[in-house]
Amino acid sequence: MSRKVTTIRGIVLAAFATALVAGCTPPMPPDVLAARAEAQVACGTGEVRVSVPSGFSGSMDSVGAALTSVCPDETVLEVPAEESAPLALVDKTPSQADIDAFKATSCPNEPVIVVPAFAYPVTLAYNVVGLEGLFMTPQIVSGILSGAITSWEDPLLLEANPDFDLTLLPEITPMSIDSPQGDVEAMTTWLNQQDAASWPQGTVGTLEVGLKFASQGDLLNEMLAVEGSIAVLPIPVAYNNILATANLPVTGTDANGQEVDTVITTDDVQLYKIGSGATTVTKDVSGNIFASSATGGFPVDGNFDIASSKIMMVEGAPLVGWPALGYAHLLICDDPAEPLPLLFAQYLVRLAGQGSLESFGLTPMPEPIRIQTFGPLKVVVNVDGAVEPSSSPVAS
Amino acid sequence: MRRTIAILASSALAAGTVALAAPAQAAENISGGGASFPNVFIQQCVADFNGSQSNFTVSYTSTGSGTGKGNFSKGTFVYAMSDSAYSSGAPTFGWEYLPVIGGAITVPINLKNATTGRTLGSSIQLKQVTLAKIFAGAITTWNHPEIIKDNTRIAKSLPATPITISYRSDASGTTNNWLQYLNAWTPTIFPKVQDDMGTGFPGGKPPKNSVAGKGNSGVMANVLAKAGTIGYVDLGDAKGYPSARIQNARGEFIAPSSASAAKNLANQIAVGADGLVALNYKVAISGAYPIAIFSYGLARTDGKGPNGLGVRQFFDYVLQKCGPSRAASLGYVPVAGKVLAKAKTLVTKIS
Repeated sequence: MSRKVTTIRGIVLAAFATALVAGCTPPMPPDVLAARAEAQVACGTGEVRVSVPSGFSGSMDSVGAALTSVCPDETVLEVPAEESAPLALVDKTPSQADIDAFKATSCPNEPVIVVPAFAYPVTLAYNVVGLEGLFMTPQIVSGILSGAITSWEDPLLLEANPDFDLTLLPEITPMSIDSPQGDVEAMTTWLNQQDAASWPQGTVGTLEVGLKFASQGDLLNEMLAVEGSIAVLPIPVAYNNILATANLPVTGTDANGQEVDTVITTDDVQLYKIGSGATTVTKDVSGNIFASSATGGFPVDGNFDIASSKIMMVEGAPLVGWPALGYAHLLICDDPAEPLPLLFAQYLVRLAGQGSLESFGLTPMPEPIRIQTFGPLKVVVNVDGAVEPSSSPVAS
Repeated sequence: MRRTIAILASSALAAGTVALAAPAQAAENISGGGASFPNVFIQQCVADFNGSQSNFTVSYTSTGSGTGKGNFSKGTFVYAMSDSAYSSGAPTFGWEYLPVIGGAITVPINLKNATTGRTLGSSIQLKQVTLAKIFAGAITTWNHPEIIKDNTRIAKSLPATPITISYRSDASGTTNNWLQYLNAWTPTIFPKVQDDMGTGFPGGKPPKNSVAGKGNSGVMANVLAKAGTIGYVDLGDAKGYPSARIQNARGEFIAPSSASAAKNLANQIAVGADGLVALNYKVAISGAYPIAIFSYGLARTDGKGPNGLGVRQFFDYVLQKCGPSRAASLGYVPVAGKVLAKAKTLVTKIS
């Protein structure tokens, strides 16, 4: 397997380009400059293996397909999360123990780079045909996940959902995976944030109530067979399996001082993008970047830029988004002799890589966070702003 | 010559001698226009492309596919976008279709539960025939038994609000595809496929409970203006507004999104030698939103139009750079797979 780098071309730091051209041309929007800066891609030769949790199977292939279209000699092979690979996707904010385990199995002699890769919205998904969009308060979600609510006709559910007919349904059957999951972490972080009294357990990765399964595939197989089943899942996974999804509330004050008390529906992907800004970004001494679960729905100052995120909102709408998202991260073995994992990661955080993930149904990182990942990923800064607009044969 | 100057200019930038750089030759203008369906996406690509090079300045005017095709044939537009093929009036010069972007036609619905005030649009599930009957003016209230039949869990919340149909007043590729979809499922109700919706309704005239709007933005404005209104627009113009879940060929009710439309378009592989994709509106893929379309670039291939090189570079940029990086975030689907391979071949013929 060849891992020779054939071409490495830098990109322009958007801010630098802004300063450089400001004196001689009309100002261009920052996102246009960013696109210009990212038009060049560093290509490698060979196949890069990426270990992927079952819930996000196919996501790295989607990025790989886009990458191969511009770098024909570079391909991507997804392997199960249990297999060792020099590049790993994890569905949560990795702990030091997670990083140590990756280093021990996949990168014993080189440093490990950690960056967020994308966000994903989570909710309660359930198998009840025609019951799309039930409204669930934190108290209802807590009640279901703790086993206190077992009937669709529970008073809390009935009170919150006067639009729906909840009669004559089988009992609620919670299901979950028996190992820690990022989606459960995001959901329980939100529950604890919203109403610690109803969810005193804090952030947990596994649930105690209900049927347990070894993998998401096993869980989904059973969910689809059992009417009334319910589980915490990434919304794209629920959609892919034609499961109904619960709407969640957001209350508080947005960045413009506007009071908000609203129900966020699961069918507007733009709201996922806004919600993904409600994260806390931290760096370790090595420069690695970690994004926490994004909860609450209100973007943290500096973590979200509405213009560069291309949000198309109705005028006057408050700046609030989906209130519970997990953040997937990449663990990259930074081996100079094996550069493909790093090159792939560099492409994944580009606009094109993030676009591929969004086409797959995931939520791209907000621009301020995406740009931060360029540092640890060693994206080369090139002051030459010339960008070829075409890769097709073009005669002059 | 233009190219040499551009390289010199970029070298000067790299050396940090901006003030000393020779003034660049004025960029050549390339004006195009047409379909409103891809407008949000194309405008972004135009901005990105214009920022990426200095030889050409591209512009795009959303006029609707019909006007776009007409102006391209007349030479008023150097390039155009259209969601539908020419039925007449095709250019007499050498030209081609180029599939450059995909997306979903969504069905936004302005409907609330009168008692609770909750928005119902995104909870409503519609079968193909129900949708056709609504747009034919045969189902005129939101609590009609045929609608309730597929929405039993929200039946008591569906109000007796009259249905208003919002449709395109101008010749439209979105309309053409909309009629293709309705015709595929309900040919006896919607027997005609054309760009004009006004005469595309059963009986050749709009139902009494309808209102016309110019462009997809006009259709959406009608939806927003009046309770009970239903329309058909692209995701970009819907701006996240609650839209119906439409039944696909597997019987699943699917919400519109870039991802669910991408599942559909990934399986639309009947791309012809002319670049047109023969859409199968009954594609049976789980999770696929059923009303997804391609929008086409129209470009000269005879080398006799102005700035053929710039048009080629622009469409190549749209296909290979703008689509992958911008489409999904704006609610569209980048061209991929077999269609992209064909488009890459076609783009090299633009001159």
